[in-house]
Amino acid sequence: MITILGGEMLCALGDKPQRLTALRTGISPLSSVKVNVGGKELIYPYYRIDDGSRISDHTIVTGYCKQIVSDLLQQNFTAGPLALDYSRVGLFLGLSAIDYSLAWPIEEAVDSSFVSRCRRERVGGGYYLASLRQTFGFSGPSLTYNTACTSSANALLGAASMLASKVIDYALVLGLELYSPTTLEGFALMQLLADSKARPFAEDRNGIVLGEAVSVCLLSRDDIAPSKWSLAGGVSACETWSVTGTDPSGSGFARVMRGALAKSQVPPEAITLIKAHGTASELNDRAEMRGIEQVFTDIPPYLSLKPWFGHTLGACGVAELLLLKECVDSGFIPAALNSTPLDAEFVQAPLAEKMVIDNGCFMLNYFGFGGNNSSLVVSKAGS
Amino acid sequence: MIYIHAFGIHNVKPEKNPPDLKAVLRTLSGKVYRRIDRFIQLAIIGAHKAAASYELDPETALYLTSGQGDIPVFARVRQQRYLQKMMSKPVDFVNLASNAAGFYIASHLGLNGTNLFLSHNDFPVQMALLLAQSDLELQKQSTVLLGGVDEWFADQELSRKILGVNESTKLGEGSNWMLLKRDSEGAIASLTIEPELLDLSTLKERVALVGAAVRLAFSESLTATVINEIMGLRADHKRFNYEKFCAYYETLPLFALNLFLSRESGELLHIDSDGERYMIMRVGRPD
Repeated sequence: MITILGGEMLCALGDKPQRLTALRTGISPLSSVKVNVGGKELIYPYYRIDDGSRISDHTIVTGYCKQIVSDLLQQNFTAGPLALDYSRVGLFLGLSAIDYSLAWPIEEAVDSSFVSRCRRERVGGGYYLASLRQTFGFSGPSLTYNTACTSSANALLGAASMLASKVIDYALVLGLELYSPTTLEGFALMQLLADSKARPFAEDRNGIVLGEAVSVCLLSRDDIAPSKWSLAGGVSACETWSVTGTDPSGSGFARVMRGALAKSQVPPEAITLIKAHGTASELNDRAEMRGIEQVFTDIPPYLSLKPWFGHTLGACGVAELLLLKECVDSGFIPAALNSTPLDAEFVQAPLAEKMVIDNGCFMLNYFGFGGNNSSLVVSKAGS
Repeated sequence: MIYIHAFGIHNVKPEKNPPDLKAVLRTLSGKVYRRIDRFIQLAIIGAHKAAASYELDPETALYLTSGQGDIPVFARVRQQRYLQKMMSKPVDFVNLASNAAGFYIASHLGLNGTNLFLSHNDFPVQMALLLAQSDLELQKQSTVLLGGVDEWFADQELSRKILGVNESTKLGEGSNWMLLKRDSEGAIASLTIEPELLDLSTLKERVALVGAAVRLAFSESLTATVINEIMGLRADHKRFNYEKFCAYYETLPLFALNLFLSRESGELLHIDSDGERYMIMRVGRPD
């Protein structure tokens, strides 16, 4: 069994007590960002980690990754990081495809006035994990996943495979999404961004609110490190309906949800709650609900976590898992935020009231560009 | 151990301009693709060569690994943004912001299984194969179509800078693919990926135990000194020289393995390095 030992993250909600307060009160620290759209500077709502540098310099990105990994290791290995056999630790990272580390040398090349801190330094897709290996001395396998919004969910599944096959004993799985002008401009150009706030499943929703997160989750096996939390299973699959959209019937989403239940050997009625992908785009929300209706005779309570800290794209697989875990460990699931009035097409509303709960079996959905859909089942045993 | 059931090679050494792939793709597939960039064309061509004549299960997983991914489009988008002060085209954003290459290969081959875009700074091929090996051995997947795709980029100076290679390194491009299964029936060859990252002394111990009939291949990252030391361990070891057929790109190890499969029989031990540690892959083809 794959165990979930802990996690750390940086996001707009602040530190763990601040995150829990925001989830309890429903108050989220929505900020804004300027985006150049066709020569016009438009302002969109945005969830940022802090008010510091707006440039995702790769040294800043790497600094964030090192900080959360260091914190996580200190929390979980009281004898200190050296107590770990670093050759048995795998590193996995999910981020959306535009790599910040590549931006610097390329910007320098296209504009000589651009001052880069990256001069003939090896960069690229594996840059961040290489940097973590170098800093901490990890010498096990590592892989970076670029599958848009499912990136770090797929990284969790990859880590679970290498743990189950005993290639490694521990896995650090990171999700990374920071400020990127190209990403923001791309979403704005495609008219996918909301103008006020994220309202998943609501009748008056009008788009996605993007957010930043750097998150890390520590996984192991029960023979190495038991835990009440486990990753029971999951499935990632591709649908080729459209490179940017999903089959409105929800069949692609239903397929991965069914697959996740089968791989986890969990019947639909055992699911306590669905952490929906819930981006607040009409097509995605409706397809997800149609998919849920195809899989569940009785629809479990569900909600989207994006109204609290935005759609963190490649990071959301790990970040939303950790946010859910923190809630359950604190004895509650918050009522859904910004989801009324309900989309008239829906037969069941998202979670209307706070759920008092400290264990259960949870489905986590992630759907992305490129027809990439993933669904995970995690559980926490009762005391 | 896992098994190779089919493979496909697309390997080019461009000189000044990258070869036009549209015509190649049209000839191979009989289809005309719009809204896809050259990296995606390259990916489809290699995957097509490996798998188009094979009756694929739609659930076949697709693992695409690359050193840098779609650099030319990324560079063009940045150029438009910073020099031309223009908005990038939505199609460029889509091709950058998603695993679009995997999507188009899946569409081309009729696949709807797991579809991953993977990368690693030093061992992009070995790490992707290690994942495939785990997933196949655990029976999470029954078939994996795995490819390495790297595109030649006209700005050679920038390319070398990004790749961290010296100025004399000739750069190439390739799209090399393998169809992998857990079952040996009907297989072309066996494949074993050693998961450990070895130091040089452990590597030498392992190589010294390898039989005389096994050929040795080395990645570009190994120095001549190290290669000579390894080749000197046993007088009866012979080298498989694939280097004269290619120029450097990061997923070259897949080309080396596939070229061996296309030309040789017996076993090949491939050794790669990140400068400090070493990884071993072993391919066995029946005589």
